[in-house]
Amino acid sequence: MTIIITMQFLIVSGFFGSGKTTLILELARELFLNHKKKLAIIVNDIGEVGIDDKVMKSYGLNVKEMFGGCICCEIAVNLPTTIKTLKENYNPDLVILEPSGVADAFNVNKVLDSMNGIGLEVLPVVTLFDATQLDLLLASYPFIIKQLKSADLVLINKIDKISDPSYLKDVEEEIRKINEKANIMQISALRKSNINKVVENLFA
Amino acid sequence: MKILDKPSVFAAEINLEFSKTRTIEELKEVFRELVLRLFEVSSVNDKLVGHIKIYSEGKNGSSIRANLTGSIKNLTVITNGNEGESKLKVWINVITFMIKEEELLKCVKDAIMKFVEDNKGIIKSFGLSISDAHENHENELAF
Repeated sequence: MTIIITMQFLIVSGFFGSGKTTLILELARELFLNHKKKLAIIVNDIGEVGIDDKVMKSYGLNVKEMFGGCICCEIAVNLPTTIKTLKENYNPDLVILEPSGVADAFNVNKVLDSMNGIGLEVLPVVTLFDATQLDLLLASYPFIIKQLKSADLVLINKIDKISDPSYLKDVEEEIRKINEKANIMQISALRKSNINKVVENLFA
Repeated sequence: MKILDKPSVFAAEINLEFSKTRTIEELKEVFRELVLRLFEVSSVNDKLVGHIKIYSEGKNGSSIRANLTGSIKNLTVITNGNEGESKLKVWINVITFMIKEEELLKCVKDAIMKFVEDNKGIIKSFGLSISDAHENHENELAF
């Protein structure tokens, strides 16, 4: 059977406050304006007031919320249904998933693997790391370690807040110890720095 | 520093009214102050493992997004729109791995009440929702 790819799927993971929503807003802007992609976004907030989805909707994006805890616990039930609903009702070129700050992309990928035949092209997993939080990395904080291990592309974010280049080198070296295969890039999502390079890396 | 194995979560939706219309610049300052007060009660030794997120929409169409994670230097407040506002819907989400949820709920709620009073506002409704479905992760850590 030939499966026709109809939707690309991008996971943007990262710990709380790593800048996922800000990055997704910038990616969406770049992909819509310069690549004419029709986007949909799935957001999973912990806590039953969704903030990220409201922020994204205020920028005119098509957002589907998945509330009620952490996506890596509830994903097996909710994510396939959410993706199918998006496909049927909106048929986007690209779906971006923003899991909660404790979610592990490895579990998301397992669910996606089980969805044979839906025509998804899963793009490299992006994990954001907040450059100012090196202490959490050094402490081997488990959520962060798992997220970094699952990444194909690690984005060291908030570099605008760091003035010492050697500190950023230390961050990169620590990440490299956890995941030696991933591509690593430095960005500032808030300052829109290197967003076009991220898009090139993902969609080349 | 003790880090909990699962996040303590505070989530609320509030209808807020100020006695007079605040300009967008004034609102930016007001929300900056609110985040700092929430940081005070959800952090330990000036460090927050987790985040504070606030999003607000006013009747006149302006919106404000305020975030903080890690330390005070990471506070950002972004506004969208130029209209002043007196009636606002505010969504607040505080997640911390540093203090127990029961304590977080009380401290954050008290901090919000005091903040509103100090800024001559009235809370028209306060919807508190707690969600914690993330039970099965590692044990308590220290670093």
